[in-house]
Amino acid sequence: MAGKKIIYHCYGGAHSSVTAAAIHLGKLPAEKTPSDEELMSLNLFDRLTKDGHGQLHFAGVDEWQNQIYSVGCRNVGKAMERLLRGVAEMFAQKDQLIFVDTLHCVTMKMRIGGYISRQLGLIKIGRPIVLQGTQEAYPQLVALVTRIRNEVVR
Amino acid sequence: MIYLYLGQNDLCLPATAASVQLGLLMSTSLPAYEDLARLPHFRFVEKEDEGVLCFMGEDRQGNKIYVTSVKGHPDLFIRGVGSLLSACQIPLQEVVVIPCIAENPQVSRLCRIITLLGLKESATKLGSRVVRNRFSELAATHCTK
Repeated sequence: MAGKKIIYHCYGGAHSSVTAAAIHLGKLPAEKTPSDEELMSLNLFDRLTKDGHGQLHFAGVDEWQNQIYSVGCRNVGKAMERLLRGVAEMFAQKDQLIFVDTLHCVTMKMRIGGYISRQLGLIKIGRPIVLQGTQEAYPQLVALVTRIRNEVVR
Repeated sequence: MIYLYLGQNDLCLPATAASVQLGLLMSTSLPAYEDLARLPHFRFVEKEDEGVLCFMGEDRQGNKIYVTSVKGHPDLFIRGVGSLLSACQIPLQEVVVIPCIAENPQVSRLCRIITLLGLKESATKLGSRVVRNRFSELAATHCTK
């Protein structure tokens, strides 16, 4: 079962997918909500711009040698998943890909803060809101990642 | 090598460009409506079809030709395919993604609405007209690869 590519995806690839990838890799604690500083210590958190959408960003390798990625797919996550699976199938690598949509964990504060920070570029206003939103969504993200980790091990 | 023709909202433009590469259409003469309508996968896509790869055939050099269509943001898919190939350590030149986007994507959206209303034939006819308007460019896409 080793050596899969686990791809966490969301709208902008700057918040929920990055946080989920960090939880998966143990860079963020699963048992407590991270502080603003811990979240901001992640390379891509609230930093990715729309030019990076669609690009798979390598986050690291977990203890079972699975490669963990995050990506922003805007509102075409399902289509992106189908296309990438199709391309992987051509090279007999379809079963190696696991796509995890983190959008359903995203709170309203994350959406609003993310829009203000990433779309409007008003980082000083948007970032505190999105940080708070991420901390509120953290238990759901931990639950999602825990489920995925258990599935991958099985 | 794999050629992937990427459309937006429709498979009409990518299916035509792919057909020129496969030799199903002559690049030198404007195809008739009937010829276009007969092409495999010449249609507008539904939501569940977005991103699904449709095999068109193999060209004389043995390259595999696929078509697909997405709702929007084709640039995202081009980047996605490129980065997936890198992640899988597959040479980037193994898959060539060729965008075949209508000058005005609103037309494709309109055709999609017409299809949803059950007027498939009218949508195909409108799609054929868009293709005929852009045929020289689509044929050139194949020649310049």
